[in-house]
Amino acid sequence: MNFKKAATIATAVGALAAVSVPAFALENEFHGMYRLRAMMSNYENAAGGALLDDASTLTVFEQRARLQYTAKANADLKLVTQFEIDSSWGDAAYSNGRGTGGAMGADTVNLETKHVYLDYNCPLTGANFKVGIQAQSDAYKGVLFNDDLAGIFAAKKFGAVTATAGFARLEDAGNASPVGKKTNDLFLLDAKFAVSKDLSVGGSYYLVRTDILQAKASDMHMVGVNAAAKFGIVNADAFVAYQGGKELYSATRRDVSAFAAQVGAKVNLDKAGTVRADVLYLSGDDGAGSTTNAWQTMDSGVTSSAALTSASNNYYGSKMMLLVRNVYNMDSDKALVYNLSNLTLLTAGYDAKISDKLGASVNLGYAMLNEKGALSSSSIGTELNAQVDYKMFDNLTASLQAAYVFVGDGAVNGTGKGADDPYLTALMLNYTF
Amino acid sequence: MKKMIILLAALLVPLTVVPSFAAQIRLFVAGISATGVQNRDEMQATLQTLLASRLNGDSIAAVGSASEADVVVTGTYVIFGKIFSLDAIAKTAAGKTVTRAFVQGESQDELIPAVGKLADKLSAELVKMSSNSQKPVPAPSMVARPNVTISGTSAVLPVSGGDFIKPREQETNTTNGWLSKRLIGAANLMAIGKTLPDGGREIFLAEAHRITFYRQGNDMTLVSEAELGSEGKIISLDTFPVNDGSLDVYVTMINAGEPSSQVWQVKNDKLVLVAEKMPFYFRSASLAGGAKKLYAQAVGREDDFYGDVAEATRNGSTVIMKNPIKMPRYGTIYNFNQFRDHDGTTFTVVIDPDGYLIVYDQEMKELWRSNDKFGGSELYFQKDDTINARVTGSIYRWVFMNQRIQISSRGEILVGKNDGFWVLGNSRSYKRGAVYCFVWNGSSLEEKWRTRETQNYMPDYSFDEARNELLILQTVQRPGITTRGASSLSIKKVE
Repeated sequence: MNFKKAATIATAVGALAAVSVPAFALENEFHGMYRLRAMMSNYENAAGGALLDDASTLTVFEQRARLQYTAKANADLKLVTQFEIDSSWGDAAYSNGRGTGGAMGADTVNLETKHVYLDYNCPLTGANFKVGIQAQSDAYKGVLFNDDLAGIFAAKKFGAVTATAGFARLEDAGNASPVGKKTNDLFLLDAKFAVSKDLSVGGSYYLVRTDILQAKASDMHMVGVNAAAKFGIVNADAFVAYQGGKELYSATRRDVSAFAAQVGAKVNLDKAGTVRADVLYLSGDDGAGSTTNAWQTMDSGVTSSAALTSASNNYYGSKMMLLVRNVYNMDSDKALVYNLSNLTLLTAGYDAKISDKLGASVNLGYAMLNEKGALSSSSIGTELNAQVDYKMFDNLTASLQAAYVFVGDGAVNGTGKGADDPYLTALMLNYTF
Repeated sequence: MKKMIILLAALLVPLTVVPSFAAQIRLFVAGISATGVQNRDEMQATLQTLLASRLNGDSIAAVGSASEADVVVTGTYVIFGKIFSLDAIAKTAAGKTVTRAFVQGESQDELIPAVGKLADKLSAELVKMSSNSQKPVPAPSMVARPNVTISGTSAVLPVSGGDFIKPREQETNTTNGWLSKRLIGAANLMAIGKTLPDGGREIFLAEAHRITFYRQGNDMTLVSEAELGSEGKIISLDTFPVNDGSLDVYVTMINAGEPSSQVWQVKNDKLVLVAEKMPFYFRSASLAGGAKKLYAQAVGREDDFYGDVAEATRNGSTVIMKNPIKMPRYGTIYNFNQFRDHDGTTFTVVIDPDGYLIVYDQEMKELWRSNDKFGGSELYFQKDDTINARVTGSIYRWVFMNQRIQISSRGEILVGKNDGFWVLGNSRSYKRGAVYCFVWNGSSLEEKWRTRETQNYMPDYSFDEARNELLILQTVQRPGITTRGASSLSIKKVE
């Protein structure tokens, strides 16, 4: 090939590329966040463990950055990815591992992949599909699951009804080398009906099928109904759910007959602020009989142990900071009730918007066991917390948090002695875009 | 040694290539309309691609949109019997004709070579124009059409013989419009009130928690203002005349994530609250260029904008809805409008969340989608989203407002557009804006004119068709922790 011919081809290719690029160009969308939470507490840190007596005060500085990149091919097709970098100041440097890199020297391989999924509208059915590792929540405020999972979820509107069907492979016992056997799978059917502008009702059927901890697969079924309504200045919501089949995360796989219910209300007092109240009930088991009445909830790691060591469930709407998991928790993700079961939680709160930039809220919560078993009391504790938010910019909020729990005798104490009341104070910078 | 020479040559290539880009003409082939052919859309797209690729070269860079281009080429492809004619016209971004060229052929076999010949002709003229433009030339005068706001993107010209550049509008003077003084408060929204006997007009502006009432004559005179408290945020401001001759000012506010709207009236030069806590979004608009009507839409438990948009009438704080209008995909009360073609067929136009203009037919099927983005607003409200806070990092979900689409009685489609260097996710900071005017040509929206870009973020605009004037609101200073920021209002006559 002579030079002239090569140059001609190169020019043609270049010209084509110049013309073609706009047509093939992906639209890039970025979102993300950065949060620094400086905590002083006698309880909240990244170490495991329960309440202690003579618990000493500690200071922990945690930070989290998230970057979400979405590559949009068009309005009906996009790839969503999200990555996370967590560190606690002083934890480790020059290392390979998630959640570290905050020690002097930094330079740590600590990038976590949180989400990778396709989000597209099917040209044949008009349904929206999300396929891959994604965030999903139940329709019951997260008391069964609210976490990242790998699966396929399809949603389609039929007039005022939105129907969702989904499947997720929560776990494969082969772990890093999936074998397709000994799995934990979720099947989901949800429907939401917007009856009017002031009322919506929903219904669900969830099936969790697993054979990880026993030879034969067993199913846990859940059915539930939920509703949200507006009555003048009051916004109310409620749900009831029932679980049957076999219990989760147990080699014995007893029969399950568990029950959950919730009712909440938010009253908009206009200039005077907003008042909230909420009651959550999750049934517990008394240990007698071959059937458990304990509310079954999702856990993210159960292969090696039947114990619930990490939680894929939460109840962030309660606005509690120590009694149940706090939405702002990062590596120090601890709570007196970590996995939600055998619990009655009563909460009330007040939100004030003092100015365009300044807001505050106070919350009071009481948690108790529904079945105390051998414990002397069913009381877990009473929490009082407050948060003041100052919006430095539209996207950057500085918050001051304080929480104190008058711990009850029903709270599990790791030492078997009387536990100190846990407290937490935190200064937080939260930047989202 | 030979390898060394090749390596050196390879290294030198970027050095020689980069400067040459600086002198390139950025050209966009906007479209070739085809007449008398089958598969018209396909043929148009093919010709557009062919011409762009053949024009692309050392001196000319084919770009992907008109907004990036110095020169915009349009053309026609017509067949009479077996003979075809391919005609093209090149214009500057300001609309000035640079050159015309055509080629003819006697069969389809000659079409592709003809595109090449046409490109050669255009290239020669454009390169000549480019080399001439290196010499100092007087700026195009606006005297011939002093009231026209049509403009191009190349708003900065070299000053003859100097090292300084200045905006073209300043160079040609600014007598083609009216500019207010600095107005205290970075207003997000604007609404036009009554026309005054002296020829002035009432103007209402809204910040996040405040509405201000001005009289615009030779100057903007602040008449009164009202502070609405921090519990709600204003997301829309509209005016609508009442039968008794007074004027309702609809202030759509979001309070605790829900619309809680108010109506104000001017009484003895004071703003007086006449209705409040109405759970609707409001907008007054002239759909399809018709009479101005008041519209409302509700919020749902699951949807930010619930159900149809409907005509609204107010009785005290009670709202009666009638004549619902179905919304197409992405359509809400604030981002849609309607227009009619010559046959009287009604179409719906929407700015989608990504900023693309979409035209729908009466069955709400998508007909056309713009290649460029429009709209863009820094105004938003927030909804509680605690369940997703684990993922987003925020207990709120951001819902951004958008520029409104206005339709004139002549069927012109006006839409605002903001651009900015720093527009990332929910972090938006636009730095310039413009208003675009389109007309429907039967298959797509064709740009008719656009205003010069503002030097600041344009939060809102309004077309006063009765006086053929375009009112453009600009944020000249953003609000700070202790300051309200500032705005300015410019008024341009549209020919």
